Amino acid sequence: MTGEVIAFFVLAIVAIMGGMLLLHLSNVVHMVVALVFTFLAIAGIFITLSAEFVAAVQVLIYSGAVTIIMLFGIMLTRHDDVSEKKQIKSSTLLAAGGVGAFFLLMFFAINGMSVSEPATNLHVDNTKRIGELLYTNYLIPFELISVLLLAALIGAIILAKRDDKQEEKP
Amino acid sequence: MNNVPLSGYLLLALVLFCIGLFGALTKRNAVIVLISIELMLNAVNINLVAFAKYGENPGLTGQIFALFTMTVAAAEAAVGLAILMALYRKRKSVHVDEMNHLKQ
Amino acid sequence: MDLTNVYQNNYLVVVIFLLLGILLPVGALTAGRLLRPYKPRKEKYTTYESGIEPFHQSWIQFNVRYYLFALLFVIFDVETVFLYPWAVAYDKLGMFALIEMTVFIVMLAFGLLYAWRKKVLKWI
Repeated sequence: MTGEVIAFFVLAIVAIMGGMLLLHLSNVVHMVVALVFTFLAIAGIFITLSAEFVAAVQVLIYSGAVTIIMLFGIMLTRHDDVSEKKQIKSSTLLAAGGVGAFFLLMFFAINGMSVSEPATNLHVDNTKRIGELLYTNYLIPFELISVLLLAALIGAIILAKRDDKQEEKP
Repeated sequence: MNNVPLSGYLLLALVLFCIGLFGALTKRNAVIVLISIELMLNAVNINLVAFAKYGENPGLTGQIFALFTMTVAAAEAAVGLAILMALYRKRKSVHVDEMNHLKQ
Repeated sequence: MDLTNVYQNNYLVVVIFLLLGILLPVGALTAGRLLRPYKPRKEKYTTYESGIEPFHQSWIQFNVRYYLFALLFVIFDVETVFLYPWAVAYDKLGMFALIEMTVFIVMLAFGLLYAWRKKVLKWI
């Protein structure tokens, strides 16, 4: 057992526990807080995979921005009936069966996979090398990202903004 | 066991993806469905970064694509919640079961 | 393999800080639990000792327009992510990358301008 293996197991257990709590808890705010632990653990997993910059971005975007926007979405809507019906519906069983079948299929696919030697120099000047690649080889996707963000910003404003006039009328 | 094999990371990503998929299929609250989809995208990111290190041609390409996926996920969360706000204004509910306008 | 080990050992400091951060409040609260007197009474468990009894849950529904501030935060947070690698690798990239980044920022500035014109930025 090396430190890397121990770190992987601890992080994996934290991540899966967060996901399980998401399925089990009944209060929506608690669900989001449980998922923050999953996101942070995944950032740790990225560090063990020598992706420092991606780990920082994971903390910045997922545990920061996405969680905040989801909490806003919860606070802006009404959640009176916290207690969901406990009886198991047939659609839930169907979903569980489908997910289970998918899990088994992918599990056997993963087990049959050949292993190659890991790269050892990915962490050296990680951010700098990502920058060099991003602004030379992946220029078109980068500029498309700006178009995507612009479209998302304007579209979301149009969808969410309509309230003012409607609220003042009645 | 000297270091974690590739299949360990892939298995973790698979478990997280399945949790997200199950949540997206069974939860009634639309916000939680959106969060489950974020979890699925995050599991995919683990795969991308793991293959960037352990794949046949290791390099930074997988990490850069993980960055792009995160950006798309953030934009998706923003637009998805905006659609949810517009729906909530009409129906006063965030339950996916009740969003069946087209059925009636 | 040697380089990877050095890189991973650097993060040992982070782990130690995390453990300290968890242990310190846990230790302080446990010490407080052991040291403080424990005399429970019914009045102590109410929210206010005098006044109206609280009813309903503590969180209320906010106006939808606050969502737009969260939205702007998310979009420009994502923009920041792409500024970091550009700034770190600026010496090697030079003029062309500066033009790329200007295009990127101008695109998002259009979005900000649109939000401004739609009076999203006004705090009411």
